[in-house]
Amino acid sequence: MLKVKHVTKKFGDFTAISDVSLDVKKGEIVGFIGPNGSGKSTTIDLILGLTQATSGQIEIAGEQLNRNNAAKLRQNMSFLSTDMNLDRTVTGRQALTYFANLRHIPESEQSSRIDHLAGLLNANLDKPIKKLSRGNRQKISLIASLLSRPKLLVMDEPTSGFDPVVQNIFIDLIRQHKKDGGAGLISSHNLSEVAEICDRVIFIVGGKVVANKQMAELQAVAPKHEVIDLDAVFEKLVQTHQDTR
Amino acid sequence: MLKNIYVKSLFERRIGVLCWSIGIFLLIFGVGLMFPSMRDLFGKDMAQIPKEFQGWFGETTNIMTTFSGYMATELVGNIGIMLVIMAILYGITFIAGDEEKNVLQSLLTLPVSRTQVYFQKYFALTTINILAIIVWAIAVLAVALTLNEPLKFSVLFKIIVMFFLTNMTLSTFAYSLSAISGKRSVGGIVTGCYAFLAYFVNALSAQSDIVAKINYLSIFKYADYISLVNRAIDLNNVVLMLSLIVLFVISGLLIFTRRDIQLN
Repeated sequence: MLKVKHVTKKFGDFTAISDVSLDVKKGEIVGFIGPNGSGKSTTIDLILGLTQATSGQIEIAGEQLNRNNAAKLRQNMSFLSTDMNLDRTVTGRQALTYFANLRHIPESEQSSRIDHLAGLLNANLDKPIKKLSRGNRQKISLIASLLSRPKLLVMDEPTSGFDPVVQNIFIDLIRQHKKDGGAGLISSHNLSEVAEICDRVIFIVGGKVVANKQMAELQAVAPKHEVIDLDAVFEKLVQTHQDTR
Repeated sequence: MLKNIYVKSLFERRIGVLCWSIGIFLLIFGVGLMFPSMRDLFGKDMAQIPKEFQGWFGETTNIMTTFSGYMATELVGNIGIMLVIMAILYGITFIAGDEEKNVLQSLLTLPVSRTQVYFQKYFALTTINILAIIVWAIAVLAVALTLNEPLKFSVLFKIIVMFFLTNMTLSTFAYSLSAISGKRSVGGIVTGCYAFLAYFVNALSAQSDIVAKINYLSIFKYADYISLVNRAIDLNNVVLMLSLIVLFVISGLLIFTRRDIQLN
């Protein structure tokens, strides 16, 4: 579904990511983990077509991403981030209808899809967004990202701001997305959440991919724990990378 | 209701546009009501000033004695600068304003191309400039009716055309610079400084030969509102402004569709 092949991104003399390769298969949820400034957001910006790679290629649904087809390829994917910076003057319903229109969702289906997801998340759609709490704004963003039933869901810190109940609903929605054949790339600092929903985890440190492991393989890295302790794996990988520099 | 980027761009600016419209109407109407006293000043009173000093007031002295002349000189040439400021301010908000707030980034994660975003927002900007000119024209008509002054519609029409083109040229320049740089400050400062200097160069060109020599760089020279009271629109000026608009639109589009857009 998604292939990032040997991608490097430079900003002037600064190399934000170097020779990054990763892939996400259909029906697979992949965690994308790294410390602050490791290049996660840079990689995500490249996948979304917001920035252009200095070298390397990105393929979405088998098609190579370029300036001319970025909009078309985004039809297959959705993005969810900490704060989607929704226009605060409109209500949640107005914002979602706008997103649905831009995603070419038939008008006859818009209300039912919006109401179904809003019902699951107990989201208030009638208040102006500026009057909603961060968590409730985040619910609107989550609905917006799932409205079009995307094949690929790209998520950057998707659950910060969610209370535990909504966090569980989010996890159920992602599992359902996966069950329906959807793929996902999730960048998060909430490692227990990543451990719970991901099939595979990619670690990026200092702009380079340092590990790409199935969840089962990670158990071997931190064997003393009964459940996979991603925190321990994460700390170990970051430490190893720093020692080798 | 929010079917596309064009409608959404207008919808989110509705309150601001309404406030500007009310402000423009009241300002034009208020200054317009001063016409009778200005007519006396530039008519009877000016006749008492020695001819040598009358030249300081330039071409405006005679023209200000008619309502059409007052409209061209005061209501467009001077007070009309408010619409120019509005045009520049809106020019910088549509792309760079959204980018600085990360709203543009959210929009560009949807299946819309940058070309679509660029043109739909530009058409929204054009619509706001058209609305501002309509409000200005309604205010002028309201003054003429209130004072019972004859108003030549042909002059009004010519002024509307050139006023709109001037505003669109500056607005497009600001829009294009902001789209290229992603920063409101770049579009605002460069266009604002240019408009400010161009306005004074054009205003002072009659009094100074040196200033007159650089007046060809001023957009207001080509608007030439005062001459429109007695003469037809110079089509060369129209072509020049349209060419500048097309040049700014294309250069802004070419760079905006190619540059990186990052989350701030």
